[in-house]
Amino acid sequence: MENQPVVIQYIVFFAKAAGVTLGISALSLAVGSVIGFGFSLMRISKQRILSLLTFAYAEIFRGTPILVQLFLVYFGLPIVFHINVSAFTTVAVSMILYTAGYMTEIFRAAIQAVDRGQWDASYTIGMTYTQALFKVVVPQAMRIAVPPTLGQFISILKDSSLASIIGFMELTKAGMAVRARTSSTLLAFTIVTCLYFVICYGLSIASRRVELRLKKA
Amino acid sequence: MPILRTEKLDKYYDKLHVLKNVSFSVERGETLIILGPSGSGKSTLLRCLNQLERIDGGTIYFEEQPFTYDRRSVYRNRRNFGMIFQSFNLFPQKTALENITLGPITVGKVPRAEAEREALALLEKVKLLDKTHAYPAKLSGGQQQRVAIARALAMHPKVLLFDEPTSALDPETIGDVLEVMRKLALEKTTMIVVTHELGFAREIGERIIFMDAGEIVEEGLSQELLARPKSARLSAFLDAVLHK
Amino acid sequence: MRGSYTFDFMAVLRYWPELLQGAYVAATLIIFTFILGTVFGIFGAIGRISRRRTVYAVSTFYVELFRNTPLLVQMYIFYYGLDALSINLSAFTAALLAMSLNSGAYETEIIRGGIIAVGKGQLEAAFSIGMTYTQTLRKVVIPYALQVIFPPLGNQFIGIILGSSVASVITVPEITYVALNIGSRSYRDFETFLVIWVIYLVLNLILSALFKLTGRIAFQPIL
Repeated sequence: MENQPVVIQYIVFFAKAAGVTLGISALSLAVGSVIGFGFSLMRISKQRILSLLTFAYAEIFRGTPILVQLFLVYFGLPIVFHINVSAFTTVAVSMILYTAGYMTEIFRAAIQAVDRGQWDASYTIGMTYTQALFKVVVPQAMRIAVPPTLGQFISILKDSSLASIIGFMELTKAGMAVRARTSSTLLAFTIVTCLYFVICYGLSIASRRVELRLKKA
Repeated sequence: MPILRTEKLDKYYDKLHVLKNVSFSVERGETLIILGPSGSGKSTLLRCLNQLERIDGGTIYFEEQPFTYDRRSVYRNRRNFGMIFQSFNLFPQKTALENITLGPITVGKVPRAEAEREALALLEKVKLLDKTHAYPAKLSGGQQQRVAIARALAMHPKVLLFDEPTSALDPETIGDVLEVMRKLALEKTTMIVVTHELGFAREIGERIIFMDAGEIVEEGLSQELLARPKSARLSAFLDAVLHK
Repeated sequence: MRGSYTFDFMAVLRYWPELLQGAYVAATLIIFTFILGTVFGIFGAIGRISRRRTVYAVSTFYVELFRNTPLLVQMYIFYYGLDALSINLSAFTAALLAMSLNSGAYETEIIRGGIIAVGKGQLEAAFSIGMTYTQTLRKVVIPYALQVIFPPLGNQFIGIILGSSVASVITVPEITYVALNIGSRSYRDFETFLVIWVIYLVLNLILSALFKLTGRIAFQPIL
C-alpha cells in the first residue's frame, strides 16, 4: 500500500471510511428494524402496559439529541459492564437503540395504515388475531413501510457522522484525520461533503423510484 | 327452530343508540333482506351477527345456543358465518385462487391440494375460472365481489351475510353478482342481505325487514311489504328509492 | 474491578448555574436558527416553485445539498472551513449559520408544501365569487397554508432543538458542551448526561404539548 501514489492511498482511505459509514448504518437499520418491529407489535397490543412502554421508548429515543444518547452509552457502558468497550460497540449500541425507536413508529404507522376491511375479511374467514396479523396485515404493512424506512436509512447515514466525536473512524473522522495530516482543510471537507452527498442523494432518488413502483403494483 | 335469532338487541356508539330493541329470526335456507336508509343501523346489525361488533344489550342465538364473547367462542362462532363486504376486501397481494384457499389452509388446516381443488370448483361456480391466477387489481368490481363470495363459501359457512354487496359496483357488473346470489338462494343457502336493490329484494328475498333509526319498523313477506307498505316511513323510503 | 456503582446526582446538580447558562445559550441559538431558517425557507420555497430555470436550479441545489449532508459536517465547514479561508467566525455564528441554512432547506420544502396544498381549486373558487387577488391571498391562501405548515414546522422546531446539541462539538457553550465540561470536572459524566437527557426530554414534551395547544386554539374552526 505504501508504494502506491499518495492520491490512490487517500482514495482508498476515504473509500474504506465511506464503507464503514454504510456498514454501521446498515447494521443499525437491520438490528434496529427487528427490535422496532417487535416493539411495534407491542405498541398496537391491547395490553396497555406493553403499548405504553413501547410508546415511551419511541418518544424518548426520538425526542432527545442523538449526541446525548451517544455520550450516555459511551459513559454508561463501562459503568454497567465494568469493562472498557470499543468505540465500535458504543456506536453500534447507541445507533441501534435510537433506530429501534424510529422503526417502532414507522412499523406501527404502516400496520395501522392497512385498511380495516382486511382485518374484517380475515376474521370472517375464521382467522384469529394472530393469524390475521401475520398472514394478511403485516405483509401489506411491509410494503407501506418501505419508503419511510429508506428515508430513515438516509437519516442514519447522516447521524453516523456523530460517531466521529468519540473517535470512531467513519467518513467524517476520516476527513478530520486527513485535514490534520495534510492541513488542506478545504480539500478534505470538500471530499467528505461530496461523498455524503453522492451517497445520500443517490439513495433518495432511488427511494423515489421505489416509491413510484410500489404505487403502481 | 330458526337457525338464527336475536332478542331485544341494543347497541350504542358512545351516546348514539344505534340499535334499539331489535328482535327477529331467520329460518334455515331462507333469504332475508334488510332494507333501510343510511344510518338505520342495518350494517351494524349484520356485523353484530358474526361478532365483528359487540352488543350492549339483548342476546343472539345461533341454533338456539346463545352467543358468548370469550375469545375462543367468538373465533369458533365466526366460522358459522361468511361475510361479503361492500368494498370486497380481497387480499391485494394474493391471486383469486390464493384468496379463496387462504382460509381453508390456515384456519381449516385443509391440505393445499384439496383446498385448491375446492377453490377451483367454487371459481367455476361463480364463473371466474379464467381469472384463477389474477390479482384483485386486475379484476373488475363485479369480478372481485364474485371472488369474495367464493372466498366466503370456501369455509362452508351455515349462514351468508351480505353487507350492501352491490352498492360499490357499476351497473353493468351488478348483474353478474346478483346472478350468483340468485343461484345461492335457489340452492337454499341461508342468506341475510343488507341492500337497497329493490329489484333483487323483490325477486329473491322471501322476507324483508325494514329498519330505520336503529329499530325494526316493518317486517313481512317481500311481495307484500313492497307492494303495500304499512308504515309511513317505509312508504317514504320506497318513494325516495324509486324516484332516483 | 467489579463493584456496584454509586450514583451521585448532587455532584451534578451543584453546577446548576452553568447548566442554566448553557440553556440560555442554547435557547438563543435555537430561536435565532428558527427565525433565520424560516426566512431562508420562504426564499427557498419561492425559488422552488419558480418557473425560471436558474432560480429553480439554485434553490433545488441548496435544498438537496443541505438535506443530504450531515449537520456536523456543515458546522465544521462554517467553523474550520471558513477559517482556512481567513474568514474567522465565532463558534456561535458558525453554528447559527450552519443550523439555519440546514433548517432552511427543510423549511423550504415544508412551506412549498403549504403553498401547493392550497391548490388551484381554492383559488379559482375565491376568484369566481369575486375576490381580488390580494383578498384571496389574505383570506384564503395564507390562513389555509399556515394551517397546513403548522404541524411540520413544529416538528422542525423540535428538530432544531435536537440539532443544537451538535453545536457543542465546535465549542458553542450550549447544554451539551456544559455537560461535557461538568462531567470532566466532577468525574460524573454518566450522571451529568442522564440529567441533561431528562432535561431535553422534558423540554421536548412541554414544547410539543404547547405547539399542539397553540395549533388547536389558532386553527379552531369557527362554529
